[in-house]
Amino acid sequence: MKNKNKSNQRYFLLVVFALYLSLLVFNQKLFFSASSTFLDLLLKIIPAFVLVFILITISNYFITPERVTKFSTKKGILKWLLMVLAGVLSVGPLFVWYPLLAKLKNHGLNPGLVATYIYSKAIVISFFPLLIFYFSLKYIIVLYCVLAIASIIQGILINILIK
Amino acid sequence: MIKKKTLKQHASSSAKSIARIFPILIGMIMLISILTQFLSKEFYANIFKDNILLDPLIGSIAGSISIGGPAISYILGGEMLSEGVSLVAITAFMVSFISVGVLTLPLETHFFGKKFAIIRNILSFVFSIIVAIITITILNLI
Repeated sequence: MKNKNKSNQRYFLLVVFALYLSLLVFNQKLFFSASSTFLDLLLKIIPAFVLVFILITISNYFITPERVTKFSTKKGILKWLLMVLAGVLSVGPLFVWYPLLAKLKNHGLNPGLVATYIYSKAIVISFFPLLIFYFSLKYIIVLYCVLAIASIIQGILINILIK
Repeated sequence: MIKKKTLKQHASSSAKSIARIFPILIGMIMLISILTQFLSKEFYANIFKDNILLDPLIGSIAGSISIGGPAISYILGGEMLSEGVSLVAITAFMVSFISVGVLTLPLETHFFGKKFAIIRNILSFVFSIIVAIITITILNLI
């Protein structure tokens, strides 16, 4: 899966490079204005990615598969809140976490908690610097709070619907 | 016994995970740079009519069929914002982009079963619209 994804990404980049090359040949005006926009955008977001790197490292250090397994054994509302926290702080693509979540589900973890974890991954704390680059702090805080509540509601609904 | 990773090892795996998204990130920025030369504010105004229900629905459909990580959705959302697209549509777009996986549905089905994957994705789609409307409503109130 990882290798297929990697080669798809490279293939995509090659197609975009080919597109730029054809612009250079057939429409130089468009090529230069698009290139200038690209460089502007790239230079603007690079500092945000330095912060993203630091936040991903911290999250990686604290949220491990062992810790997520431990969270899932807690009781009551704490279990739901910890699954939201695990989803928020865990890094990497979602499909990387699928095997662990499937294993926990097979060992009796209710599907609602799996859904809560998956949905709460929409709250990407590590990409906060990039989000703040485009949107206001007030917007991000409100959005993240609404998403956290929605992830628990979604988990409860999944449990009801899958019964 | 499993050996605990050091901070240095975590930093190295973080660098690798960022490096992994770079080809698609660079490609998307390059594509956006071309598209912005063509897509005017009028184009977006024709699609998004500042309708509190229709705008997030369109945004959510667009986000559900898109692929890429959160970084891509934020950049796309940010650029749409600068073109004048309503925040409610952008919110629905970004949330569905991350939480709805039409293209990864077979993989989710493989691990969690068909019923779970379908119900979760339908709920996530509906939730992206609800989350967008609630977020913007709260923002307007405070």
